Amino acid sequence: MSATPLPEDDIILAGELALRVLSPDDERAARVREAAEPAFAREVERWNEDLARLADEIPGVAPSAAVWPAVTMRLFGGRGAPTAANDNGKLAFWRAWAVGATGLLAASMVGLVVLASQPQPLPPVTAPPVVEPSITRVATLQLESGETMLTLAYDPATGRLYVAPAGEADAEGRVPHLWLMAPDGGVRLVGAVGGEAHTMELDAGLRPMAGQATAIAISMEAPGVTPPADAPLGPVVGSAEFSEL
Amino acid sequence: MTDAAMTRESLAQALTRVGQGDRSAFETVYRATSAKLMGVALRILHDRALAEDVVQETYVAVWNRAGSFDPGRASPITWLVTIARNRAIDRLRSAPMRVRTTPVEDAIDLADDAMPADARVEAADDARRLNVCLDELETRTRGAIRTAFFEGVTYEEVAERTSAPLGTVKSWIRRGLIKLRECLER
Repeated sequence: MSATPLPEDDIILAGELALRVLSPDDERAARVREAAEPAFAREVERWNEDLARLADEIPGVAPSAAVWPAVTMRLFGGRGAPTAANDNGKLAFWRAWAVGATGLLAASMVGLVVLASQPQPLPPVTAPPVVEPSITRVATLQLESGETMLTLAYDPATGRLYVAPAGEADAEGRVPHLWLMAPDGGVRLVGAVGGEAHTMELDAGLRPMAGQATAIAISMEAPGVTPPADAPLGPVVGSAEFSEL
Repeated sequence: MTDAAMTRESLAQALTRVGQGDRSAFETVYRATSAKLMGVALRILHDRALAEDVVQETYVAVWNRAGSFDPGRASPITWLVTIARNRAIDRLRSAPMRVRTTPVEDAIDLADDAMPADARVEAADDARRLNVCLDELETRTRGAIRTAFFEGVTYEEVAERTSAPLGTVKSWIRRGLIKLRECLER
């Protein structure tokens, strides 16, 4: 980045602007210089880079699950968006849910490890090849008591499975495992449900199954036990339709 | 794949892809950084709803401006933090009355600021270097710069808070900035 060093006063002014300590009038004047003078603008950028390090000591705080859907709504909207052709209220809801609920999640939720799915052909879209959440399969699993145990949504376009377990940890210390159930009756282990909701990129091995599964199920496995990929060892405590939107 | 584990490099790559219109990368960036930006906005605004508004605005701005992100000049996280902090300060200054009704949290923040340097968590080398340089400053200068950064306040308000004359506060911070720059360049 070369060039003559800025005068000391300008270095200070750039720092004051980055720190935001100037009065409104002084700040406006400095912004004009920032817009007009590349060297001054670079100095402001440099101060931003240095001073923003202070933020390292600010603890993170998850924003609510509504923020991300609000961002995407503002930017990409419903109407007029590239995928408007295959959009509808239900889909928009799940898209928002998938990104919001699992991306941020409440402390009471449980997370999990998941696998794959075959990307299904996307609905015809006459738009630029931009990837966005395109949930096509969802499931809500309830216990016999009617209590929701787990919600999940699958996006074949990105290979992401959004999983939000809602139940308490099992009193006996058993670990819930998620299964995909194929139309022919076969089952395939996806993985153990951990402590928090989150999103998993499905690996190629599970993809054919995830695109076709018609139901999901949860089994409770003893701690430290990984069941075979095609059959649970512990009791199946619930199953739910993995329905197409 | 924990979000926190994203490296600077992978985050920079994702942000670069956002600049090319990649929505999937945008979501990745959001998930990796929204808690940090929320923390920054909340620190300045002391109001969860306002802070969430600012986070929302920030990511709209990130989508629109990511094309100008230059990984050679800025780290992705400081680039994002700068946008969030500036937006939060703009909001603070547009609604000063509402935000000033939180004296208790202010008191907590002041206590935080009094924390000795060695008790602070210093994650990255760059942050450590900045703190080393800040620690070379006089206590009141360091305090004024930290208050300005974390509370998003102007010279005038720093002067009010420290009961020092405005001119004195200005010269503390200006001298502090010069020393800081010299130290950071060493």
